[in-house]
Amino acid sequence: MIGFDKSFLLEVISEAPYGVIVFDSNGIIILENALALSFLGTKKKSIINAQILEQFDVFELNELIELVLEGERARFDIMEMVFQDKVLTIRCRKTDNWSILTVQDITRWKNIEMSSVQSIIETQENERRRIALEIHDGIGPQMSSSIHHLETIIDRIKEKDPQTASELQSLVEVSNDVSEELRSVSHSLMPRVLLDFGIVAALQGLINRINASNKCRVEFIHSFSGNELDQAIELNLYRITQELLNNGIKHANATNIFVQLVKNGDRLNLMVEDNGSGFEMNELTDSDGIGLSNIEMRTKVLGGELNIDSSPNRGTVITVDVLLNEN
Amino acid sequence: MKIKIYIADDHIMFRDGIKAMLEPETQMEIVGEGDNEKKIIDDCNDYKPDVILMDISMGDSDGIVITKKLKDNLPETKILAVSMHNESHYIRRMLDNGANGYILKTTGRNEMISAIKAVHDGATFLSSAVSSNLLKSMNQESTSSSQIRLTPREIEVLKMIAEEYSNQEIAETLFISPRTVDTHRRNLLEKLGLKNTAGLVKFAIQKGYI
Repeated sequence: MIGFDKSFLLEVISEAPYGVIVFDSNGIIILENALALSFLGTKKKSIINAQILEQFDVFELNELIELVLEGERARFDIMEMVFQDKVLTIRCRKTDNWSILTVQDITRWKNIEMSSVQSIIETQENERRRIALEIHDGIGPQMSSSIHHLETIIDRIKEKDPQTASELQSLVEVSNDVSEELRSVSHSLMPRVLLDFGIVAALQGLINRINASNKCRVEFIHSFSGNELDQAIELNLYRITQELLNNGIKHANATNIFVQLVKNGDRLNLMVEDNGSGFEMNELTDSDGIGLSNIEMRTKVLGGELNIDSSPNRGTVITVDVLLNEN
Repeated sequence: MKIKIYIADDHIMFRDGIKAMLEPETQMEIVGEGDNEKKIIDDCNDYKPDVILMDISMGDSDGIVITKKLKDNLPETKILAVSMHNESHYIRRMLDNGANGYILKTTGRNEMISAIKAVHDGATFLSSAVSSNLLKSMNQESTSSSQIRLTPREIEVLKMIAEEYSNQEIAETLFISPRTVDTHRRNLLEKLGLKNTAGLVKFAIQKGYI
């Protein structure tokens, strides 16, 4: 079966820094190393002579292994696969008589990556919050009081000098526009109502503003009061919804969007359905927008699951499922 | 008798603006100003103003909380909220806690003066933007509480569940993944307060969906 001394081979692969499993064209395992067994989390001493398809209970992986066994594919790489409590990279190479599966534990790297993504998001949000509050609570009121000053002056001089009064009046109007603009900048940076009243109030406000613009009809359905959530969850879910609504209106030209926030036991589900143009799922690439990758990143930071369903002319439905820590 | 006014706001520039604005008003006088909870409450108990112009977000101090405390002690004092916030949540909390009026900081001079006079006379005064936001939020509440909304896709899923299609079949018919069908199913159960598929079937029949 194997051209040279098996004990020599075993010795070589036992020293490899990754799990190794070799199986034949029927999927019967003929070689393994200890690391592979430890990744599988099996109590068995050996899986030699067992079926490879019965080792990992992961649909996507087994599907690929089947393709290799059927000779449809000669190789595959899964860069990231969550298995039990680990994140694994799995590579498979087929030779004439057998296939070699190597398994690498990248959990540690994923954790490092995740905590750096998390700290980038946190830093960015803190900065946004600082600037938004500065505008909302600082510059905004100062703007208002300048306008009040101007109005006082207009009142005082309007009889003696109507010309100057009307010039000042147009200055008041411009200042009012600037004031309104500042409000909306501050709001998109960090909605104050999210900090003070939570996600339901903030989403309602966001949706009211979209509906007021008459571009799209958005309906909000929620099944919980939503004031007991962790602020990081609220902020990330708010941003995700903001991004999804933006995508739906700007890119998919949706005219009707449903946003649902449903609490189900200890899980919170955000679902955004639109009737926009949709897209072919396999054409979804990185270039399709910073948007979706941002959403993916924020979902991961929350330890949630993202699911995207779309097809041309059938709209898009995106769900984010988050586990809540009830303390 | 002049109307005694107290300004509660953490921005000196804003307080100065109001002072300048009210100066020509001979029937009004500013009796004090404060930028934090302790000072505002102490001052108002001392000066007994007729009308307090109350900001909401004052750094660590919260005008909504202060309003509640002042109203408990000085029920006759009128409180007019003067805030940057025009979202219904702030407005409602302020009014619930006893505020007699609510105007925005962007409100013009004339409206501010009318507002002060109105609350002093015992009326309630809301800026037009404020009252329209308040009405909108009350409308939303009455429509959302009367009936739990199902989306068109949820109704489709519900019908197919009731007709005993499998998740896989529903997914293929509606061009969505089985996972999304499952999420729809869970959301339907949760929203309708039902326990299982049998409940969904019963609901679909009762509502005439099948």
